[in-house]
This record gives sequence, structure tokens and C-alpha cells, in this order.
Amino acid sequence: MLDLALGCDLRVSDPGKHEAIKERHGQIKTNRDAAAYIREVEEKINSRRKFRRHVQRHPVQ
Amino acid sequence: MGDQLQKIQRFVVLMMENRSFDHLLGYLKTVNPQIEGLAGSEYSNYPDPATKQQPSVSVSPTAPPAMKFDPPHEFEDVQIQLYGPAPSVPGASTVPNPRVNPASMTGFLFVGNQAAAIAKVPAEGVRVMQGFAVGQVPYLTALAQEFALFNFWYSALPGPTWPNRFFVHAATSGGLTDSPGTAAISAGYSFKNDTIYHALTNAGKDWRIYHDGLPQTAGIDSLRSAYVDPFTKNFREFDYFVQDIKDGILPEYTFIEPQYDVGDNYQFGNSMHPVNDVSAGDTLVKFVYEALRGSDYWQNTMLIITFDEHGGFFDHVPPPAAVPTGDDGSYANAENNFNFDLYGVRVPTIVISAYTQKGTVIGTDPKEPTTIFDHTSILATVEEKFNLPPLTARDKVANKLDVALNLDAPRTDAPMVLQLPSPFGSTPIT
Repeated sequence: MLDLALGCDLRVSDPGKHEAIKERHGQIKTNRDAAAYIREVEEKINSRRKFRRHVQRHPVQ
Repeated sequence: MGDQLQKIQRFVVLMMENRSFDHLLGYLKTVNPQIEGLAGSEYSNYPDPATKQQPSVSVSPTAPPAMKFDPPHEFEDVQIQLYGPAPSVPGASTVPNPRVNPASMTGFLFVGNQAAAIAKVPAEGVRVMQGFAVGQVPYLTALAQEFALFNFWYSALPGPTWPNRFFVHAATSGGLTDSPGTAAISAGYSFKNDTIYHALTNAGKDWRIYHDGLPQTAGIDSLRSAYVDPFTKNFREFDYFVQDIKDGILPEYTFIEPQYDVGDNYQFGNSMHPVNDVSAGDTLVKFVYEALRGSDYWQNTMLIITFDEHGGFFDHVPPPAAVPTGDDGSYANAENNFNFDLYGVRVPTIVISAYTQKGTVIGTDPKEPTTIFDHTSILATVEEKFNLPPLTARDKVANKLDVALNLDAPRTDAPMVLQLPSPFGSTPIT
């Protein structure tokens, strides 16, 4: 799942940030850090959906 | 189309993690002799089956709610579990005995002991031989007794989670037999005929994957694109499952991914991974069943609860020959030299519907081809229902689940609420 988080992170991030993301992923050594990174990516993707729902509920007039 | 499938308009699949049939539901045989499980201590493994110098360990109904280590089940591990370890000199790497039919099923304890020693809990290795006592996993047990339990449902290949889960979506793993590495997962997997979701979309059918945390399905490139799309209707947080049912927007095909909690080493997940407390997954099973049972969808929905693979736990039934997928092997590990002509270890599967007679047990003879099922049986059934083409040669010939629709009229006695067994009578759990 750590590697899956990396794949998803790369998919939603600006290409200019990819090297930094890969470097951070490569530095993860502990379960705690892995868990934190996975949650961060989940939240990044979920927040995009929440923003979309918010916009759909409150469209710009 | 089989007449029985006309009664079903929707499918909901809940795939849990890493438990063998004998380990999780085997002791139900003591309640229903039709179940191909365990009656007592009739099967055993030696710590080293090559020498048989130490006493053997028998199966017993003493499994703990959570394991203190994760029993190995990579392809090579499963080969040893199926065929036993070849005699080796001390210090030499362990290899499996040559493949034979039927498999001896003699190496589970050997592999479990090795892993337990590495995890510094050497006394825990024997746990891989243990099953749950009847009632210890009450909700799943109740559903197994209430609806259709499959005696001979095998994981799609003798290997771990990732390739087995790929089979339930794509009827192939593209040759993958082991857990994938960073580069492959990061890039995402692609399969020659894509997935069942692609086929459903092409046929104008709706589908959705509910997930609690990062979904494993995002390991497939085309599904990752849907998962990260903020406008997706195909991926939803599991929190929305009940509301979506109430809102009447359950699609024709639903796949539910539990919380794996891999980041926290599985401890707080509800996938029934061996390191989880099994009761968390059992509560998820109850939640999903009751949400459907109490809804307007009940009378035309088939709920399938299955497990991706056996998780390193003992099972006494040797896996039979399987039809190879016939597609390319882009992700094959040449060292494993496997052409997908064998199923993996048995896993528990329960099919639930209003048209399923109470106490149904599917399959009495493991040598009878019509009683053999695997994860691609789900795909074959969905393909039959919606007139979709098969994805590979495996699902093309897989037995279908209409066998579990054995009532002409919907039953009215299916419980609305699953109850805990109690010495004072059944008590609803709220």
C-alpha cells in the first residue's frame, strides 16, 4: 500500500513535484512514517472529491 | 441465461483477506456434516515433514482472534505448504518438493514455524494449524448457515493477495504470482482485456467500488485513473454505502474493499487479515448484510462474501487443476515457472440472496468439476447476467453462481438482524 500510495500521489501531483515525492517515499523507513504517508495521500484524494461535492452543492452563480 | 439469474439485478461483492476455509469455517462440519471441514483433530502436519523427528501438530478449534505474526503465503511459501519442504542440508535454502497431484498439504506448519521464529514468537507457529471454534466468528457463521456455503471455492492461484485480487477484477494477474514491487505498483497494472469494470461500462452498466482507505483496485492503471478523478462516481468512501442504498443509487455491480490498515501493520483494519482482530471484519460482514437485507434491493441482489487467499493457514483439501488464463504473462516471474494450471488453497465463500435456501451447501465431491469455483466464478456470473464477453480463458469456463439461487420464490424468513449466540437465547446486537 505504501507503493500504491506513491503511484496515486504521482498521478494527482504536478510533474514538477514528482522527484521530491519519490525522494520522500524512498526515505520512509518506519511503519509510523508509512502509515502517515498513506493517510496523507488518501486525504489528498478524498479532499479533491469533497471539494467537487462542495462545488456541486454550491455552484458559482 | 440461466432462468435463475433473471431474479438477480445487482451484485455486491465483499472480498476479505487471508483466511483458509478450514481455519475460518471448517469446524462448522460439527454442526452440519455436509460441510467439507473439520470434525476434530483428524489432520496434522509435522514440524519437518521430511524427517518427522518431532511430534506432529493436529488441527484444533483454538485459533486466537488475532495472530502475532503474518503467516507467509508468497508463491514459493505456498508451494512448500502444498507439497512439503524438500529435504535440505542445514543452512541451505528451503525449496518445495516437486509438484504432485493431489498435493500432500504437509508444509503449512513448517512454513508457519519458520515465520514465527523470525517474528520472535516461535511458539505461535502452531497457530497456522488452528481453526475458529463454532460461534467464534458469529456473524459470518450465521450467514454460512443461513444461505449458501461453497465447499470447494479455491483462490485463483497458489499465491498472495495482489495476484488473487487481480483475478477477481480481470480473470488474470497478467502472469503475476508474487507480491509486486515498488516500480510495478507505482506504474500500475494493465491487462490485455482490462477488467470487468471496463466491460460493464461498455455495456452501459453501472459499477462502483467502495473503499475504506486506499483501495487495492487503484493498483490497476485504468481504475487508478477513476479513483483519483474528483468527479468519479465509480469510487466512493465506504461511509456512503448505506446512504447510497437509501438513495436508491446502488449500481448493477458493487465491489467493497475493507480497511486494510497496511500502514499500521494491519492491526486496526477490518479485512480479517490475520493480524486484525477477526471480530472487526465480522462486524463489517454484519453491517453490509443488514444494510442490504433492510433495503428495497434485497429481493433482487446477490451478495457474495469471499476471501482473496488462504493467508498461510492450513486447509486439508488439495487444490485441483485449473484452466490457464491463456493471455500474456507480462508480469510473470520466470523463476516460479507457473502457467496458472492450478488453483490456490480453498477459501470461505458465502452467496446470499432472497432466492437462496437456508442451509445450502454447494458441492459434495471435490472431483466433480461442476462443484469447483474460484474468484472468476463471480465474473462468469456477472458476464452471463449482463451478456458480457469473457475476459480470459479462465472465466470463460468458470462455474457460475446461479447454483446458489435454489428457490423459485423469494424467502421471507431471512433475518433482518444478525444475532450473537447467547446461553440465554439470541440477543440482537445494536
